[in-house]
Parts: sequence; C-alpha cells; structure tokens
Amino acid sequence: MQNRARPATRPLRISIIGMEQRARDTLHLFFRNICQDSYVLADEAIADISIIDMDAVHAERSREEHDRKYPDRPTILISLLKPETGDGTFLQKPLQSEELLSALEQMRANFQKPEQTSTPDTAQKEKAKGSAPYNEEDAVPPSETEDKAQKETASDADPALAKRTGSTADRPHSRSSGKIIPLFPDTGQSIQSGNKEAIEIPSAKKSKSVYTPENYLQGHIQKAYQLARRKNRNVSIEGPWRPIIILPETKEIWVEQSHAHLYALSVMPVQPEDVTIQVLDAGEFPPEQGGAIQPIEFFLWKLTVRTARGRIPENTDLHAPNYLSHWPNLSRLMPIHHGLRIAALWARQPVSLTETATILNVAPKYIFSFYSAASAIGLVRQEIKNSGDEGPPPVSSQQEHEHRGLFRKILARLRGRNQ
Amino acid sequence: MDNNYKLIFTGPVGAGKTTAIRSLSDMEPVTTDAVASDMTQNIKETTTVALDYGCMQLEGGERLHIYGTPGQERFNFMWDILAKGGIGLILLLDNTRSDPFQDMHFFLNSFREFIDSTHLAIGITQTDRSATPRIEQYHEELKSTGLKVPVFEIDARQRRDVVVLVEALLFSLAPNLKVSA
Repeated sequence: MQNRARPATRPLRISIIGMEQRARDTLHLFFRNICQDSYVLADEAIADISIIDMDAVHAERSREEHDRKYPDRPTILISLLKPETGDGTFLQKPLQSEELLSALEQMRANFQKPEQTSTPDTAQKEKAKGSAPYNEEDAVPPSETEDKAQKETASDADPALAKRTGSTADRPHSRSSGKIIPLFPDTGQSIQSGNKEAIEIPSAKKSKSVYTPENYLQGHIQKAYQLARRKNRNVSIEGPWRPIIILPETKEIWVEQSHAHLYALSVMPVQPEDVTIQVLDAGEFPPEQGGAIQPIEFFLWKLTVRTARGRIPENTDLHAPNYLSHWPNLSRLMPIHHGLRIAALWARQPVSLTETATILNVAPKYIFSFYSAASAIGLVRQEIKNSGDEGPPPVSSQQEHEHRGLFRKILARLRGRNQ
Repeated sequence: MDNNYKLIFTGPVGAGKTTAIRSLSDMEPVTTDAVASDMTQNIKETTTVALDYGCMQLEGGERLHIYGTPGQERFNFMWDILAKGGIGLILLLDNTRSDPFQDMHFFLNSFREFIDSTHLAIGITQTDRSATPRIEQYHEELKSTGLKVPVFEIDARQRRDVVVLVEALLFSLAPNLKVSA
C-alpha cells in the first residue's frame, strides 16, 4: 500500500465555558461519534473556537473575560433566551446538532490563515503578532490565502474523514482572524456567514471563488441523476457514505445517512475512484426499512448550497447572462439570502453575475450560492438572450418602482420589523 | 386611496384564500361567507359569496387592504371592482381539484389585464394531499401564457408560506427593491 506523506494534523479545538459536566460529556460524544473527531474539546488557552453557556452563573463576566483574553477567537453563545443584542453567533437551547454543526462549519470555512502548526506555543506567537481584521470578502468566497491553504493542506485535514473520503483537500485548517460570525445574518434566511453587504465581484481569475462540483458528493449525485433519467431506472451511488438511491420516475432520492453526516460529507472532496454509480434492477428498491425519501430537487439544492459555500462552479462566466427557466420553489427549498430578489431579477431578464451584484447591491457570495444551487437543479443556464425575446423593461440599479416606499413598508411589516 | 393600497387574492373555491388572508391580516378578516346552497356544499359548508377583507397597518399610517375574491364563477363581476387599484395578484390553486390547470387558465384569463399591469404570484395548496401536478408542470403549463411568475407550494395556514409568496410578488414588481438589514 502506498504510504502518502502527510503532515501531522489535528481537529479543531473547542473550548466549552460555563457548561456543566454532563453537557460537556454530551458534546464530547457528539464531536467524537457524529463529527468523527473533526472537533475535540480542548482547554480554553489553546482552543480555536469557544462555546459559552450564557445561562451559567457569572456567564456575562466569563464572557467578558474570555473576549478580553481572546478577542479574535470565533465564539458561539448558547442560551435558553435570545440575547437582546444580535452580536455574535447565537444558538438557542435546546441545542440542535445540525445547527451546532452548521455554526462550526461556518467558522471553519471562514478561517483565513493556514494553520500548519498546532502547538500552543506557536498559537501564542500568532496571537502575539496579531490577526488581520475580519474581511468578509476574503472569508466567503474563500480568499486566495484560503485557497492556497487548501492546496497546501490537501492532506492536512480531518484524518477520520480523510480515511473515509480518500482525500482531504479543500478543508482548510486555519486560524480565523475573526470577529464573531453571525449564523443567520439579516433576516435569518441564510446559512452563509457575514454581515456586510459588499458588492465587489471577485476576479474570474481568482480561484478562491470557484469550486469543482465533480469533486464532491454534489457532482456525483448530479451525475447519477443524469444517468437515472437517461435510463429511466433507479440508480445507486455508493461511496464513503451509506447507500443513496435516486428514483427518476418520481424525481426523488432515498438517503439513509443522517443530515449531520451528510452535511459533513458535503464539503469533503470525494475522488471518482471512490464512488460507484450503478443502475439498479427492478425490485432492488425500496429497502425494507430505514432511510428517508425526499424530492431530489430539495436535496440537491441544499447539498449544493452547503458545498458551494458562496462559490460558483469552475468555468462559470461572470459576465454571461444567466437565463432562469423558471422560479425555484423557494417556499420549500433551503433559503438563500436574497434568493427571492435574485430569482425575481433573473426571471425578468437574463443578467450576468456581475450585473446582478450591481443592480441588487448584494454581496457576490449570495449570488454565487443562488447560481450554484439553481444550476445544480437545472434551472439556470448561461447564454445570450435571443434578440426576439420580449419581456418587461430591463431593471437597473437606479430604476425604482413608483411604489417602492410602500413595498418596503409591506416587507418590513411582513418581516415584523415595525411591529 | 392616497394612503390605501390593495392586494388581491383569488382562486377557486377551497384554495385557501380566506385562510391566507387571515394569516396576514392585523384583524380577524371580514368575510361574507354564506351557507353553500349548490354544488359547493360538497366541498365546504360555507363559501365566500362577495369577498374576504383583511387589513395590514403600515408604518406612517398607510394601510394595505387585502381582498379575497369569491371563488365561484358567478360572482366574477366583483373581480374587476376588487382589482381596481390593486398592487398585484396572488392566485391560489387547490392541487386536489380535478383540473388545476383549467382553474389556472380560467383565473389568468379573467385577470389578464390586471396581471399585465401589475404582477402575479401563484401558490399551490393541498400538495400534501395531491402531489401532482408538480410545480414544474405548472411552469410548463404557464409557458403558453408567456408568464414567468413565482409558483410555490404553500400551506395557507402557515404564515411563513404566505409571506414568502407575497414577498416574491413584491420583488417581482421591483427586483432592485432595497431591503434594510
């Protein structure tokens, strides 16, 4: 067996503050069994991320002390009650595993610097040098630094998951310079991190904004779905996960894997040689028990949002018009921040990614997420609009509807901001 | 009507118009339901013979009046009156009806002038009881009308679903509408 040279690595270290022992033990088991040791509990002094129980005695004082000592450390606050101020990532008790995993993965994704070293001493030196200010544009989509880190740490990731996936690329282990990252910015519709609306579109040459769906579970599902539709037969996808079966007749997918596990898998590169796609004979499905069936559109959209993390598939043209064949079923699909606005614009007229950012004044990561998800389910394609196509007049960033003031008030009312 | 605007809900009997208006309105909707005396009684005990009315109080003293049209064809003389001055149309379709596409075309034709001057969003209800037609089939059917509008599965009892539908309508009218954080 070939022995790949692999630098020593370690999972992200989580410090738990103010939590009673039973809860700590539960988290320990969660990290070990569900997250497969992607995270481990660690002492406060050497941790990468802190979780603070705000219902503990003297919690406020503990938090102030923590923030004073580790001002750059990403922190998750948990409590029975929502805080009055929206500062920081907050999870409400009872803690949901998927929400916790989502928050942790966001923080992992937003780490900027490669963390090739892991000793407490080195960490202290890094801290002493000071961290660069948090920069959302660099964080999501991933910065060049992060992209470089991904390459440099191609074999420097979670060993447990690496064993399952056969590769560990695209899993940067780096220290965030970060401020606290809101889990649900703005209206709470999005999973992407960030709280600043920057519209600067990254250069097409910057690979930090692109990813290769074929290297992930997303791409393998898409490939299997195409085969299933072509053959009009059920297709199974086997790899470093429990069986997944696509049912083309009903446009559904059968998945046995837990959501938490799939979420972890969604960001793990999977080599094609580790995946087997097989057309099934009649009667091979359904299994007698276990698993769950859901519309493949819902599954693939969600998987893509999680895999893309604010990026677009490689070879996407930033300047080509995007043609939306029809609106996604956004009442049932996983929300993407500003998704309704992007869909409304693209349904009206083909608009490029760069123009969309300008017209809507929306951060590119949201547009990229929407594009990636919509293209994964086959709703968007890039092409030149036929000159004969008619439609409503083009929208510009300056053009405003005569009832815009009214519409804003209705939106505010619907979203409960003036109640 | 300077500070008063209208949002119109329409659709066939039993599609959930009254319920959707209730989920948005600040007040208990005023309904003019009467005991059904015709074939409608096979579907539900009462039906809206004139209109449903709800209201949403907005910042600055403005009001959004929410009207639901009666579902029965024989009352469609009311529709033009109701729609006048409306900002947009929400069409709710019951997926368990015998021919939802026929329903859709009927209402699109009836409100076509209004839709062309404003916009439309379509909510498909009862999809838990009847999964077909699927949403993409509605879009396919819509191609012949030249309309590219939001079509969402909704549960009219869920405010969130109704809100998403109304938001889609508003953004269809003004995609570049700036939303405060």
